[in-house]
Parts: sequence; structure tokens; C-alpha cells
Amino acid sequence: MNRIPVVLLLLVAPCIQVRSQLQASGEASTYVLKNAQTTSPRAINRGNPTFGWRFDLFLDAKVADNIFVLVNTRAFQDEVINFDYLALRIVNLADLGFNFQMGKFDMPFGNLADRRFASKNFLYGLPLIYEYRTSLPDQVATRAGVLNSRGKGAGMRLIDLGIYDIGAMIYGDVGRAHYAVAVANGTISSTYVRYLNDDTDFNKIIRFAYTPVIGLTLGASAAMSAYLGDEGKPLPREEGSLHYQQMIGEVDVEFSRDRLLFNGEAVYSKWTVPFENEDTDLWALGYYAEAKYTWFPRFYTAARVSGLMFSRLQLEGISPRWDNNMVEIEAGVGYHLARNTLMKLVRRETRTLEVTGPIDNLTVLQLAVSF
Amino acid sequence: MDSISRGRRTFVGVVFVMLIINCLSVSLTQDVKKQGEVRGKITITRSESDLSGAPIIDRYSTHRTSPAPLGGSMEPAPAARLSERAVVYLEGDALKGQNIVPSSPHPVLDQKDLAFHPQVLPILVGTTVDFPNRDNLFHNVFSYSSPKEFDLGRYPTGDSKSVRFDKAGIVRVYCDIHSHMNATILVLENPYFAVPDDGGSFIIRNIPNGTYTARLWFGRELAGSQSVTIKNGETVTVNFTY
Repeated sequence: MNRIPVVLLLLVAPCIQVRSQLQASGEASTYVLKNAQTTSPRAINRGNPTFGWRFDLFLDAKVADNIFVLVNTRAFQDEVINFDYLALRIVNLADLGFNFQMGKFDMPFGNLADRRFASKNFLYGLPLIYEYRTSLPDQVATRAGVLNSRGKGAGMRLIDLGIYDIGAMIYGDVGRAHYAVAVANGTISSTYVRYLNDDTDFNKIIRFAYTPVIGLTLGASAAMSAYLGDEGKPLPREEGSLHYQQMIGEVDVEFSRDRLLFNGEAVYSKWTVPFENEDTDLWALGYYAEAKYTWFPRFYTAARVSGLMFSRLQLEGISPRWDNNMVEIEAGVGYHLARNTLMKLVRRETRTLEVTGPIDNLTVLQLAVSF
Repeated sequence: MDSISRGRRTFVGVVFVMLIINCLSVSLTQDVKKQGEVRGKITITRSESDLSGAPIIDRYSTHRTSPAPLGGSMEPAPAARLSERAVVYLEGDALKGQNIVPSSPHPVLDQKDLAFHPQVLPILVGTTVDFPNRDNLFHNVFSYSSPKEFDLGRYPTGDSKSVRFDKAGIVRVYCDIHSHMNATILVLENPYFAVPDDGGSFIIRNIPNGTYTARLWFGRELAGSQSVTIKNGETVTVNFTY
């Protein structure tokens, strides 16, 4: 990978305070974990205990009173450098009262926000809707192919990890309401973070959130786009790839009061799939609810329940689900060694429902430092 | 005989009372002479950007579910007045063990415009501080400093919570939601401290004779120290440049 830009950033970072308009910050986390020895595609390191780390470097530049350049870089123990975020932001564009952002950034879908980082994540992993890879690929596939891929972790996620994508966005606030409208290269389930758009369609995303009282925010997002990449097998019928759309919507809630934090989200997605004989709509429903309670300074407990449900597929007289329903429970404790240093001990149990699937569990001790 | 004896006893009593009053008078006069002042001026030579730091940009505010400033640009609040971020205080063994009466009403550390006000709050040991939220969003005030660990949780506009500080030391205060918010509470063992006016001038009065260390606390750090000796109740000038 091209590490030169990041090396340059690291070299520049110590000098950044020289100019007040630049700021470097970041986060480093390291962990030791033990996954169950299972055939689950989510099993980490084949069940062997392992250490690992992650490093994120954020660089903010204020180039004018209302113009910013935002950069995030990320690396794991494989030492591959990724640019998650490289965006230009114009605040209060032309005094119109809204903001404009363009480049690579996180799409305005859902309320994950900065909980994607270890120091802000109450637990270790993300909910299933962000991590679990379904059996549906973003290429032309057959019914049998989809069914045979169940539980193998080869297809699209419901929400593609951090949903970083390349595009443009307008967003702003009106009183207690927040809105965002974005277009991007990929889809919510298959972000094109490394490539240019390979079809004539953009992902269209809209988000609205409302805070009726301080501490309670209700949000909703929707997105629509063609999702098939052009590099796969040819389409079986005359319709072009634009005919095969993903339509996805979600609702979310965030509640906090005193020492309790709660987040919940439900996502529904429908894909129009060009199977051999006919087009078929497949849907999936995902959800999670998580809570954190701080018992006394430094110490908290947290838990999350997340799940996925899939529609059925007609195949030679049977109607199996196109992927296995899943449920996952993650719970843990956190202790702040210092203001910016968090230690977490987390246990995760994942179950495949209705069919006999691999039983997966994970125990992890993680240390996260932000700076 | 009894009347003579009574008169003699009365005379002796009057003389005794007068002697006591005289002694007290002399003692009080001497005490006044034992109390001096430290006056001075704080001169800030550093640029505001050095003092306030760089802008902090919340890149995930676009779908943050609590209200955020326009564009998520959470820059530090406008430069606080000198009176909000500087304190001069004295330290010395002779000042320890005094009978301290914490101030009433409670000192206040405000949460307003995404900042703490003041940025530095000097208090005496045993003082209770109020933390009202005057912003139209949640804050979560906490501290992990050893003199006092606390976590006030989230509470809305208009509500306030209080914390009593029973141990001297430096208490660094933060907001768990807005990471750029910070303040320092100096929990002091004697009442000989002063908050300067916005021009930097300060006076610490009624200081017993002795040799002390005058310290300047500015923002988040100790910005200067000078030795100072009070003799015969005189006024000593101490200037700080930072």
C-alpha cells in the first residue's frame, strides 16, 4: 500500500501546533482476544488467541473561516493504510444556512457516528447490521449460489462497515431538526471506497433527525441505488444494471439521561435480484439496541442485542431463507484508567437461528487511548 | 469594713478589665501590623492561538443525534477574559492549619456556549461548587483527578448539580460529550488567593508576616512562581509575565 502520505502526515504532525489552523488528533487501540474455534465466518484468527491493534490519525485543517479539510487514516496490525475520510467541508455555504461537504466521508445513514471508534464504542464490535456479511453478492448470482453462501460471509453487509463512500452532501439544522442529503458512488451495502463509480447511477441518501427534548433524538434515513457491479457475470435479461436497485431505510433512537445512554436502530433493505429465470426481491431486516450505564466515576457496564432476519426464497418446492437469521448479544465492562484511556472486557455470543449453525463466541480485552 | 472591701474589689476589677482591654488593643494593633498585601499585575505575552489551541472539528456531527453547532465546527469559545482563566495564590507552611470557612453561597462553574466559565476556579478546602447547565444541550461533567473523582451524568438546561471538595489539590474538569471543554478547580488550603481583573491587576490582602511562594495559575497549567516575604505588614509587589 501507499504509505507515503501517512508517513508525511506523521512527520508533519509534531509541527502542526505551529499553525493554529491545523490540528492532529487520533486514537490507538490494542487488544487481546480469543474466539471460539468454529466455522463461523466471523471467527477471528480461526479461534486461536491473538493480539491486535488499530491506529487512527485525524487531521483537521481550517483553511478559511468556513472551509475545512478533514482527513482520517486508519491502519490495523496488517499495516495497510486506509484513508477513511478525505473531505472538504464548507460551513454555511454562501450564507444560505446549510453546509456542504464533498470527498470521501461517512454517509448520513443511521446514528453510528463516532461509536465506530474504540474509545467511543461501549463494547468491542459493531452491531450485526454493520458487520455480518450476508450471502448476497453485489454481482449477478444464482439462487443456488446465494443459498450455498449462507453463513459463509462472502456477500454484502446490510450496512457496509463505516459506510465511508465518495460523494457530496448538503446538511444543516433547522431548530431542533437536522437534515442531510447526499449522493455517492456506491450503495449503503456496498460502498465503493476504493474505486470510481462503475455505473451511471449514484446512491441517493436522505436523513432526517429530530430532538423533541434534550436527550432524546429520533432519526430516519433512506437510500436508493443500483447495486450490481459491472465486473461480474452478464445480466440474464435485457434490463440494464440500473433496474436492479437496493432500497434501504432505517429508523433510530438515541436517549440519554443522567448516567444512562441508549441507542437503537432498525434497518430494512430490499434488493431486486436478477436470478436466472426471473427478477426476485430479497429483503433483510436488522436491528440493535444497546445501553451503557456508568455506575461510578471511571466504571460502566454495557450490553447490546443485535439481530438479522431474512426473507424466503422459492427454490424447487422449498422456501428457505436466503440467509440464516442471526442474533448476537455483546456485554462488557469498561474502566477509564485516565480521561482518554479506556480498558474494556467484553464477551460476545452469536447464534444462528432456525438452522443448526456454528456457535460463535468471543472474549476480548481492549485498551483504547485517544489523543 | 465590708463597703471598703467591696470598693477595693471593685477598683481592682476595673483596673483588671482596663488592663485586659489595653492588652487586647495592643495585640490588635500589632496584628494589623502583621498583615500585609501582595499586589501585582499579570502580563500575557503569548498569542491567543497559543493559549486557546486549534479548532476542533466534529466530523461525525452530520448524523450526530444531539444538536451540534452549524457544520459541526466546535471551536473553542471566544477567548475568555483574564479574570476567567487566571488565579494568583500563596503557598507556605505558615499558612497551613488555619481555621477556614468556605464561602457561601457556593461558587459556580457554569456550562455555557460549549465552555466552562470560569476556566479556573479557586476554592477553599471544604467548599461545595455548583455546576449549572446553561446550554441548550446535554453536558456530562466529570473529573478523574485524585483530590475528587466525580461524574455528574447528563442533565438538561437549567438543572444544576453540586460537588463538595474536601481535599486540597488540582481538579481537572471535563465534559464527556464535548471533549474540548475543560476547566481547572484549584482546591486551596488557605484563603490567600486572588482573581485578577481583566487588566491583569490583583491584590491579596491580610497576609500574615512570613515568606511564601506566590503562584500564577493560567488556564490549564501553573504559569509562574515567585518567592515573596511580608514584613511588618508592608505591601509587596509581584508581577507575572506569561
